[in-house]
Amino acid sequence: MKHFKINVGRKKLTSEYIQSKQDFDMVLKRLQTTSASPWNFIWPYGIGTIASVILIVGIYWFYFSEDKTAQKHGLPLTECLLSDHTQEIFEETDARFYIQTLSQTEQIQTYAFEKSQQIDVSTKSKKKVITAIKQEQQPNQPVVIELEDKTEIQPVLMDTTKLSEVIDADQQSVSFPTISGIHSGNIQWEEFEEGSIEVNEDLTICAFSIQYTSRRGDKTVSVTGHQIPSDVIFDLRNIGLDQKVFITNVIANNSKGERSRLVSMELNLKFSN
Amino acid sequence: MNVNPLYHHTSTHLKEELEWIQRAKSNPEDFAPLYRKYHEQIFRYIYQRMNDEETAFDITSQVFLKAIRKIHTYEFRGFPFASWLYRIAKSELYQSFRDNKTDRIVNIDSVQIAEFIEEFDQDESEENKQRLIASLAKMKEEDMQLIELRFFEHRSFREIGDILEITENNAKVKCFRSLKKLKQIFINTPVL
Repeated sequence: MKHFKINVGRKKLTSEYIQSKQDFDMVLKRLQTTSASPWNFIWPYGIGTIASVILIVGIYWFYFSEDKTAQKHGLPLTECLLSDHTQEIFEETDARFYIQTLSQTEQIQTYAFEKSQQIDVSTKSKKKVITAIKQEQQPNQPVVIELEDKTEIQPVLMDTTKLSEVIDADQQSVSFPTISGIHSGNIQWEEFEEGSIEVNEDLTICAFSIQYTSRRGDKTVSVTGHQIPSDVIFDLRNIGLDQKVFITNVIANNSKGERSRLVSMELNLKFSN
Repeated sequence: MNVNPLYHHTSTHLKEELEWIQRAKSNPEDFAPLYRKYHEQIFRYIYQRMNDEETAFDITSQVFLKAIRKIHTYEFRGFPFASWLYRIAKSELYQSFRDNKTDRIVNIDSVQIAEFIEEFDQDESEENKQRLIASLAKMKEEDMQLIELRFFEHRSFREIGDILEITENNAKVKCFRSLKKLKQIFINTPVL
């Protein structure tokens, strides 16, 4: 297979001839022409410039789209977003709702708000402003509210007109939630791990919050149903140390569909006997 | 074997050249003495590997244009300035082959053909000349570069090493391996 074309005995050019072809001025002229080309100046910055423009337009579009929603409703941004996304729920119940912080580093807090009411979500560290509300695609999934510092909070939307604390003395014995029969105090890991939150026959646990310490710090998880989630079990097993676990906002339904908030649980989780 | 006198400088010449380079870094017009000094050998290097004279002059200009643009990056690290220019020339030359889809040419004269045939202990017959030409055409690019630099252009191993960015010893070893390969191809090529 041939890779080259071979020339034999081509006439050699003399040094005088080659020197006569020297033209340094032409090289300088080409240098000036190519240096003056705007493209030569722009291209090294081209990619960076295009990326920056896309980023700026993206950020502008993101915030501008929120502003447009606010303008459409003629309302301040925060109020507009809240009322916009909670409209359907309000129409159904027209009642008070609770909003609960899910920050991993701060204590759980509950705030009540009503239709068209603008709320300020405050945590221990500082007052926070709601910037966005993300609603999951499935209708029964929780709404997540994003604060200006990107902390996500999950509103616990409940019809408070039907909510009653079941803590009177007569019902206390039957309305205390338990895991493996334990409401408060020491509980062995094996009992906790396999257990779910139970209550008397007439009530069904439908939601609760659990607070514990994971390797990444204090954590609060809102749960739908009565089962301790597997990722919580994983976190607790991973840390593997005795610790206090709080189960709060335990919400139960009775056979008539009425909701009750049960007494919170305070468990001393024991990994060793 | 002759060596390229422009490549192997005395310390006085080297010092003078470094001064030109320093001046050219701040003013492109001061590149002129370097251009005058190296224009012919860079042109010959390029023209040796192609057919069209005008294109060879044009690529030579392009080499110096690029050298002026990049002179601020040049640092003397024991290699002559010429080796830096040859590397640019090599890059521009192969870019031209790709852009213009032109054939890579190998230029050889009858004296060089005779030297190779003698090296291979063969008769200087017309058949053997044709066999050698056919053998050269079958060489790989890497081997042909070494054959050209050493046996056609009579460059020292040090200069070959600088141009190809390999050590002098490595250049020596590779040149002889390439020659051996050419001989093998020559032996295996039937008489036409």
